[in-house]
Amino acid sequence: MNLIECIKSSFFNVFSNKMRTFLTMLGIIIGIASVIIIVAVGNGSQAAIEKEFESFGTGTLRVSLVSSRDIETRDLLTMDDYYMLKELDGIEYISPTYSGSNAYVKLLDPTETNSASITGATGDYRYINNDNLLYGRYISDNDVEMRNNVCVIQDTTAQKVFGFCSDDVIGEKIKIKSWKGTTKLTVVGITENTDSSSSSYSDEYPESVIMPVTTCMKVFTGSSLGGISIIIEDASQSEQMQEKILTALSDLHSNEDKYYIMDSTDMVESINSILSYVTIFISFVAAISLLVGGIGVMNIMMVTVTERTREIGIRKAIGAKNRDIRIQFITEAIILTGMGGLSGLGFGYIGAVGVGNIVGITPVMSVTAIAGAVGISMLIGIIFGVAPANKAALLDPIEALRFE
Amino acid sequence: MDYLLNGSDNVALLSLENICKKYNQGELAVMALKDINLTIEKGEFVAIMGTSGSGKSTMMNILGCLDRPTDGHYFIENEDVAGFNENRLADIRNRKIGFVFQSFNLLPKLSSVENVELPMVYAGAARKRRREKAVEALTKVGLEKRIHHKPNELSGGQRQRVAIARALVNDPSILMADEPTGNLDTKSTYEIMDIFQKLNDEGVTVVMVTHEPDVAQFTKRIVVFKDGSIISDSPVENRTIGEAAAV
Repeated sequence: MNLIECIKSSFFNVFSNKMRTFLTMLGIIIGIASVIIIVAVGNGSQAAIEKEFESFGTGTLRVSLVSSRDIETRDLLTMDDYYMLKELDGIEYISPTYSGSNAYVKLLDPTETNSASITGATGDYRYINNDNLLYGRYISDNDVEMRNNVCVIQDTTAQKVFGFCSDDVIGEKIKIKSWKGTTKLTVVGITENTDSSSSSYSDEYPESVIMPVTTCMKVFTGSSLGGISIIIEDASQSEQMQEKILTALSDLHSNEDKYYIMDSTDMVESINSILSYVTIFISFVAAISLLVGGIGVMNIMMVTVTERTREIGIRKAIGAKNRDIRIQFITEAIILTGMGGLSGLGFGYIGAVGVGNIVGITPVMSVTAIAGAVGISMLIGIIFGVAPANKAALLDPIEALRFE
Repeated sequence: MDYLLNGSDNVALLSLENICKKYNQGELAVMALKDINLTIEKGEFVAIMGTSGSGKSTMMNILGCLDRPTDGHYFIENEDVAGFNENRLADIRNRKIGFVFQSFNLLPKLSSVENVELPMVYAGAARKRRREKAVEALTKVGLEKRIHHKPNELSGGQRQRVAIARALVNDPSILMADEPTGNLDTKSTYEIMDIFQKLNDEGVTVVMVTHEPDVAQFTKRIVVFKDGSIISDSPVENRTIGEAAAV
């Protein structure tokens, strides 16, 4: 019996009991679909995180205060620390940062506001944040010194606040509402919003506003910095620089172990490793569901063999070899699981897009994942089809023909 | 005796030498066949008779290569198949033996022509040739107008004719029929026996197991089994002719 005949006959048999076929496939469908969803969403979030950190080049350090109870006032990071660190050798760019919380930007329609993500910084922040200036200028040292009410906004924000985005926006004022009241800031520069996802145009997306760190602390009545971001000249010297910075800070504050430094590459790596652990764990759970699905297939194949004992006897009597019977049943199992795998792939894709929409991630479908899903499901067919197929192949034709 | 000599060279088609078949049932060894010697020549039409438990079914299974003897030699066209493994026996069943069963044993989901094609599928024949041969075989048994019917759309007699067509399609050396009329009414029985007689006239060797003496009367030679041994082996006198009986 040639393979084409065998496949044709197997399809015929599989489809002659549609309900059973569907229910048997369900286990595989669910298993494969969940694997696909997990892998696609996992890859998607990994890609998103990497993109997020792409703007921070290697060698970007962020100094912050450790979060523990025994922090005293003298430990807090201030502008003095910034001025001190600025003078250290080996530092290319440095900017203090202070985040304004609970702030809103008034939009074109004066009755409407949108939440704002406000960062107080200095001119170097442009390089740390990898901002691409479209119009005007960035924050200057003079702005910081004079606590000027100026800001740099993104092109998308300009669209939403002024209704257009051009050179003419420079010099216009935006209104920031916070619990301290409303502050007017003159737009001095517009940067490009590099977040390509469509959500950056939606209303929920917070408007990014960058202003002089001193102005920001004044508006939000802050006395200490959120942190200090640094790009070092030689990324390979990161460890030595971290040591140097921590020593300098401890000397200045005469304390110990109050600060820590996060390296951008470390951050990406640690987040990715957490993410891959989560992916592996959930994949393991999905693998169990595939195993259960496979056992379901084996169970149904066993029942099918028993039901078709007489047919097997007839086929053997007219000349089917054990091999022919074995191949036929394995093919049927592969068709069952293979079709289950393909449907699971479809449902998984739909599911991944759905989950991606909810959590705001573009799922990434890799060829490896698709080939893997189909391959694994067919492999399950082979593994769990062998036992029933052998049972069928080894039936005694005389006994099988007597079977009622 | 005319029939025996007609168109044949009296070549031994099947030859059994000292065939024994032993079944182990618990501690008891049952001798189903005891030292059987039998020769069937080309063109013969043999009835194997006996009561249940006489060994005639075991005989049929061994003749049809569904089972292997415990001891002895079984030559099909001078080839000793007694020691063949399962695969080679399957091949012999496929090429040299055509089976007709009491309960027809057609695959219910396949049409007549697909059922008839099945032995050729396992023989590896090409699609087009399979269809031609299957239609030819169905025409031979008078079912050329029923080729696309499923077994449950056919009468018992028609089903058995499909089974005969299936048995013939690979041009086997011998047709084995196991109580072929056991599930049929008298009219269908005569029709089926008529077909067997006509096929036999064309040179097809037929071996048929039956327990009905009047059905055995359609054959040319009756071999009677009792307790695993042959107790009589004689040519048929006053043979019934199917065509005449059917009228």
